[in-house]
Amino acid sequence: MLCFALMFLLTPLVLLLFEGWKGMSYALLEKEVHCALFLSLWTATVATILSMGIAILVGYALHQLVLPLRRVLSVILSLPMSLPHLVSGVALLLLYGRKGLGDWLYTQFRIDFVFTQAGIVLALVFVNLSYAIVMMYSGYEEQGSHMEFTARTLGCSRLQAFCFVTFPLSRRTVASTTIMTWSRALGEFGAVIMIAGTTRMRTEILPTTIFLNMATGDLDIALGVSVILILVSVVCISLLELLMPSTKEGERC
Amino acid sequence: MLRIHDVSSAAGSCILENVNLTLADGAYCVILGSSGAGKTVFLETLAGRYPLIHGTIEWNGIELSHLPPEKRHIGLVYQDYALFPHLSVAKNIAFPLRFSHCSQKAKEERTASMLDLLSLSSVADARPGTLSGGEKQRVALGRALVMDPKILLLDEPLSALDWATRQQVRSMIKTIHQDLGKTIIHVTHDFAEAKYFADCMTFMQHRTLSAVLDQKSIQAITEEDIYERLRP
Repeated sequence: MLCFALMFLLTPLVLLLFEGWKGMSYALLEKEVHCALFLSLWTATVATILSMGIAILVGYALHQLVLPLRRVLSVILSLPMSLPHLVSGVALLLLYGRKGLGDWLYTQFRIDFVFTQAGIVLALVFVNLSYAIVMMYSGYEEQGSHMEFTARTLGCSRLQAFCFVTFPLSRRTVASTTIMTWSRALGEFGAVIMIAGTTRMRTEILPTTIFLNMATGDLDIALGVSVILILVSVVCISLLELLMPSTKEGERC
Repeated sequence: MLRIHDVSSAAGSCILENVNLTLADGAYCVILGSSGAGKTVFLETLAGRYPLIHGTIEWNGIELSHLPPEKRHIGLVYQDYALFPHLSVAKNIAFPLRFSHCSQKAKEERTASMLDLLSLSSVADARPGTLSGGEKQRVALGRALVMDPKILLLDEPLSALDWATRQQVRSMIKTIHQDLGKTIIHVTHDFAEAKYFADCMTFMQHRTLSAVLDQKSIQAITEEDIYERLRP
């Protein structure tokens, strides 16, 4: 069964790597790919920073709430995670489009999310925030409140206990959630295409490059960019594995 | 004087009901109770983890019940030590001093003297994960004592230690109590341990405390009596 699962999962990826390897060097010379790579990297990074900033605090707030409110809010906050990403994109378009809140945002602050790079960041935050919150919340739950309470008996306020004990003890969860959020943001397509569109060299990120080049029959670039995304995923998963301790911290002698 | 009057509190399904206890300054009170009797919940209630349903906790006339844990000045040493794994031994012990207003020099001197008192100077830079059980227990004690608490709560401090380390730590706790004169509440399920330390003793039964026994009554009590009292 294990062999079947491994073959089922890995065969298409190995084939893609094999086929796309030559295309990758060709793709890396293309100005379009440079733009898409640069845009993907910065939008994914900004979206990850925003998502993590919110998730660290919201996950902690959830962890502090009493049952059953904690469970109800946790389910509500997880909802966007289970939506198809295209649906998330449609919802964002409705809210931030010119017929929704977007018109007011544009006239008051000149902020426009539709067919813009800001729209890419918005979509990436929307589809990844739930995931980041759930991961951080689970991390805090796993840690428990034992250490935090001990810190409070030692003179810390709630905020000091969070800053000096709870947050430093969650550093592995923060690091792994950051890596996974960034990796997911780099590969996001559905929500982005709905709100930011696929304007070449303007709102084109790596997944849209694959889509555009597949649509126009330029397979070398499409396969080359796919290989780049696979390599990024491999690096992220390896980093994640390095962060996970093989034994529990605080092993006794 | 510590006065706990008619205290009830709830920690999930564990509910303490109408707990009463009065202790003179510098008393060493041992609470005996079987596992799951609510001993730890009682200590955590005193330290401020769970709000009171009713009742009062007073220290020399000052009402502590409504104060947050950081304002109560009650030290709590857990059975599992609850040391901060990301900080060295010295930083664990100095941790409460971060939030005090004394000078940096005074903080350093106080940390050094506590390390010295507990014979921990040689492992000052080590992380808790590399220490033995006895060393961890001493770090936890030092961290609680360095802030000069009004009351020290010990949650089964010897139960996770081997026999030799247990003898060492228990004589150290006794010395600390005699030298510093702190009011100590020590919970355990071990009668021999209770008899060794106690000025006064009480039992946690059916989610509440029984009447307090004085030194004379403690000496007269037998293991059969203890068994009867701790039987679920």
